[in-house]
Amino acid sequence: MTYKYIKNDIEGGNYTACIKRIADLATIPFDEANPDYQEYLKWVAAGNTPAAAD
Amino acid sequence: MALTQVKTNAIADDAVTTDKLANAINTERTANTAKVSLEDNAVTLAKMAGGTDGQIITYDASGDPKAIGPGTAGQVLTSAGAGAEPAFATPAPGVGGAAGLDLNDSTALRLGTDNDLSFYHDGGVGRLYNTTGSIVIRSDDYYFKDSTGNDDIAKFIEDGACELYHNNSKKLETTSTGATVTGSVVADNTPGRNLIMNGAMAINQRVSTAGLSDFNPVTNSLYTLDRWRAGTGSSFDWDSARVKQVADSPDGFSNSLRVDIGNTETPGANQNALIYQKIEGSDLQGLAYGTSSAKTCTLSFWVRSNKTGTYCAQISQHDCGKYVLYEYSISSANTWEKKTITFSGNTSDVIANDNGIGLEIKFHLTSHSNDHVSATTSWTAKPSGGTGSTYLTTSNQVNLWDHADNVWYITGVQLEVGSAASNFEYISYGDELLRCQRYFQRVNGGLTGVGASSTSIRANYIPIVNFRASPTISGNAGVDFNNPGVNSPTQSSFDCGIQFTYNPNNVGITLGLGNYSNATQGYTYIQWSSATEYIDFDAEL
Repeated sequence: MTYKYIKNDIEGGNYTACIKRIADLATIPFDEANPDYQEYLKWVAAGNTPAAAD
Repeated sequence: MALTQVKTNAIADDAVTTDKLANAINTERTANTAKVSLEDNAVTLAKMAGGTDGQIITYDASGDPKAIGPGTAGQVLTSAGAGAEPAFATPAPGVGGAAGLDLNDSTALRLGTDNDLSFYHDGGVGRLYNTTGSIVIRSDDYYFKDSTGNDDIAKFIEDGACELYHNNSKKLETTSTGATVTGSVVADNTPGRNLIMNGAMAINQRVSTAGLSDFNPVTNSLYTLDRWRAGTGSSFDWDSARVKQVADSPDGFSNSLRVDIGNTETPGANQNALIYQKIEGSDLQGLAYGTSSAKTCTLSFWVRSNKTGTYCAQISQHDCGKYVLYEYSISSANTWEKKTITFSGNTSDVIANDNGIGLEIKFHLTSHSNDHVSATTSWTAKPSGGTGSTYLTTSNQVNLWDHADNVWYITGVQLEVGSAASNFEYISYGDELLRCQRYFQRVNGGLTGVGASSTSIRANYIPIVNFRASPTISGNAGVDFNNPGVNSPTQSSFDCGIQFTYNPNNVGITLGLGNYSNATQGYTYIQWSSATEYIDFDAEL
């Protein structure tokens, strides 16, 4: 499972509210009550880094 | 006149000698067969032999007369039936008089011309039967107590209260203005008593799309019918097994969840498979876990399988990692059976009052021996060593994957406070759908947006009910928009995320969507997705 940042194409920079899961293009909010975000945190804790936004 | 009769008194004493008798008489006399006939009524009481005072005469088995008795004072003559002599015997104690009236088991006191009212004890149960009309009992006050007279069961007081007791403790009392209940009231029609959502397996938002009829977890846990998750422990391979919503169900239900096994599998080390539901902690505060008042609950469900044997149901408390584990048996193949499991509340560990996981209700389908433990009715910490699995069964758990044709169904799942299962709480489809939509909503026409650039659109979505938490957003196709008669932006690939942090207590989500062509900044758009295109908002636990 890999992730990448999402770019805000109006203001520039990455969205601060979510990350994209590459496998299904789902956007995962930065909310610790969200189990998908919990999985993302484990992935990051394992030493992984999200890919840059397109 | 000829002399034809001579009376005996006319014969001189000793005048009739043997010489005067006929030879036949002498012959009978010599042979001791001479008979003397008595006239009727010739034997009077005075002519009978004397006996003991109180004796009576009967006949023995040879038919000879026999005196019996006299017995003792108070005895009565009792027949022993044909072929046996009657005898004097002491009657059953206490018949009549000051000693009362005693009747043997199942011998009824019967009242009424047609024996309409009968009252007896059959040796185990006292019975009062009335077959005609009603029974009217008149008294000012009534007291029902246990057999010892120590415990109250009910009291009915003239001009006063009617009281009902449980274990000698008053629970319900009528008053001049109504009634007072001490404790909680649980009734079959008490709304909101079922802590399980979609227990009737009626809601299936995820498979409302044509062409997608079932779920195949393969090696990843996933949600299937609303709120019900197919679980895989340690990447157990469900292989071609499918989870489906089907119409096969017991009477009173319209749907069930079915697991079809397509290929045989044997769970490897630490592997499991199960169907389970996670219940939000804030919905469980009434259980008073972590206090001495922790509530006993009852889990009931209907289950069916061609594979008979022992299955396991596990209730896990997420915050503390403790569980209780019960076995249930499917005893008849291909037959719906209702199972009931009652378990005590956890008095030691609180369920956090938040939007996280409170309890998990797990129905196991297979389990590797590394995750075998003993069944327990006590809240037990999950094993700290080994796998430390939260998926636990006993060693008796069947392997549903041991034959390709195996199937397992479940429906009518209910978790409620109390030590007995009430009838299933039916919830309207619309209400149940709303409850499930706190955790998942599928949208294919709910967005309104404004072009932010030629390639992006900003949109607002107002959930039909607020999500439990900020949802993961995914889709099966690009999200198309339309400004009728003006232009129709199309998305090359799905790209939709939350623009600002979502607050579950506020209404509405602001979304950002990219990857568009033909969008125009400032134009207003409505979502223009076909029936088979959707956006999923997933806020499941």
